[in-house]
Amino acid sequence: MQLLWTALGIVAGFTVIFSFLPQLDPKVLTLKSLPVLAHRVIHEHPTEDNTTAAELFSKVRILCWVMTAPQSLETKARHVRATWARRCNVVLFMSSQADAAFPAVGLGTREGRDQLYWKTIRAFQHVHQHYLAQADWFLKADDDTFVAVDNLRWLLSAHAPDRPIYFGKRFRPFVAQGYMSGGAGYVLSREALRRFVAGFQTQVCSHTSPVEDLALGRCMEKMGVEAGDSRDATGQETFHAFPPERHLRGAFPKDPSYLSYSYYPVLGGPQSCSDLTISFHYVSPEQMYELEYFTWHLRAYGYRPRRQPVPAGQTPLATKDRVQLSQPERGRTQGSGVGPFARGANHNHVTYLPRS
Amino acid sequence: MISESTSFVKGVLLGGIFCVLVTFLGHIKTGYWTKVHHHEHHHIQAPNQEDVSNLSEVERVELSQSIRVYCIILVKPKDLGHWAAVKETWSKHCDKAEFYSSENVKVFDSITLNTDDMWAMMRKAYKLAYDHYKDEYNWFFLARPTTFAIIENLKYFLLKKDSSQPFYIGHTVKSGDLEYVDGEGGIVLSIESLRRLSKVFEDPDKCPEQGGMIWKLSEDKQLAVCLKYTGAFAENAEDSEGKDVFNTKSVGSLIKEAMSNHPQQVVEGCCSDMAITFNGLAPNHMHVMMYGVYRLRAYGHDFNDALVFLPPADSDND
Repeated sequence: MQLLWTALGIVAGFTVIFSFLPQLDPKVLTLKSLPVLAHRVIHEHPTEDNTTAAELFSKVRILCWVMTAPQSLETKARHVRATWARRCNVVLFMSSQADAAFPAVGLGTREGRDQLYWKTIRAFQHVHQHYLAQADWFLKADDDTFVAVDNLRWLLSAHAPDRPIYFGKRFRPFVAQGYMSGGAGYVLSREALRRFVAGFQTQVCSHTSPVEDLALGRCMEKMGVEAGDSRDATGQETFHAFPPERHLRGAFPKDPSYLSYSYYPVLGGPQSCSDLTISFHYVSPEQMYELEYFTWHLRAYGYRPRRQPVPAGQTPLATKDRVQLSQPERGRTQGSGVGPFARGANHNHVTYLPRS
Repeated sequence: MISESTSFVKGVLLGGIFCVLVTFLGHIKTGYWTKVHHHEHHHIQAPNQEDVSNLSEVERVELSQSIRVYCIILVKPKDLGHWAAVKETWSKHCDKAEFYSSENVKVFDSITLNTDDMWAMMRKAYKLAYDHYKDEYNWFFLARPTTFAIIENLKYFLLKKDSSQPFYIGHTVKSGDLEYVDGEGGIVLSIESLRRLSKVFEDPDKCPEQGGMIWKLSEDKQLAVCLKYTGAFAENAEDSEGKDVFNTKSVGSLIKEAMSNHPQQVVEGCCSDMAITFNGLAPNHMHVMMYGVYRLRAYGHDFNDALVFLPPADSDND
């Protein structure tokens, strides 16, 4: 009789444990859906060492705010949220109306192209009021802008956040020191943000025009915020006003309107984009994922890049050296073979060191 | 009553422990933890990091140089735009890349095959490649001009594979009884497979020049039939997560599919980090891929790779 109970027990025990074991299956765990906004340093390759990226994450804190609208939340902003936005220290989606589920901040404006500067002013005021202590730099991007946030940290690591400066794709006309393209994304230091908000409080700055990037650029100049040079040490641009194909394969060097807008000489072909590119604009949802894949996932195993960047924290070329590198003549294109970093000088490793 | 429940409890404990033991042993025995599949398709996987992390720098360089890949790209005059893009982009990373053309084209150098039948072109190209290069390369990669390949990832994939074995690798498809490598994703042959193929080319019963009797087989199926006679079987290439590394579609197409099928995990579910090929790319897309693969990267992510590959000379888009 006791044997029978023991046998029954064995069967019961075996069955119970057997049905629980699959839950320990590692395969089941890997495909679980991951909470999107909680991720910071995401996805690691087995041989990947993220130490430098992680250090910069805590040293160079970036708040990203994304300009969006109620009708674009699910068609565009969603894909930003699923990709690069996860890598910001803080991310906010700014819309005319609040949306608790997305989540999106309601700015209390109307929608439309003529509202862009109002939205921008309100957004920066909101960020200044609630998040000033939580970040060192404040990035504005559109919901069709792709941002390689790690590369933005690299650029900013050489500058102090208490310095009044802002970076982006620099345009030449209308403002003496130039201004930054809105669509390519621009980033303000904490001091620049303070001055922007102060400008509106003291009415030195006001809503001069709905053209957000130009109007902001004018305010920056009035408030003594410097328009920074975001190019890498070889003079290649990091912020871009168009998608990659247009820059890498487009006829920009011959396009007179683009030439007259660009603050720095326009380089074509491979020279148009830095290895450590920070942004592209007019990026479709599908291309947002493609760029995420290229930037953080797909790579050539074992490949030593041709161009090694200046390490984080070091100042890129001093301004006077930059002038030697490329002469910003209006209407003239710049070949890719100028200055001491001309291609062809060194085929394999080219290390660009800062001149001190 | 009490003695019966004690027996029952003892039984439950015994049963539970027994089950855990059996499952655990069973997993080890079938190689469960290394995810080896035992079913009809032949799957072949990339090496694990543990396999290669104990090498010195000298050993790494030697190892990198020991895997020599010869690239055959089959082209026709209508492919001129793609041909130019391939020449200017990924083919620079092959140890040697040559274009085998149906007919002579003034603009580019090529090896002229004087036929535009794809199977005949493939036969001739493989024969010429074997005759000229059998002592110089140990792996032979054949691609269409619409394909983009990352040769470094191919070499990493081939790292622990012995080229004196008959390997025939790519993106496999099953058609009835025949498992073959889809030409659209690129075809990899070891030197041993190529040697056997050269021999079987001379056997018109097993490997006829004219393709199938009643209806023509596509050239990639023909190749599989011939190779099968020699004992070389198609194997599907996957990374350590089971994702295909040879793709017959472009990144864009795969992303679009992923956006529909698993919108919460588009990039994570779409494509391998160690992908070797994509297909269906327009020429300008190849230039964007070249930038995306070899240049664009996120600062602060370093890799301790077992192999070392330097940028090629006379190039600036990589």
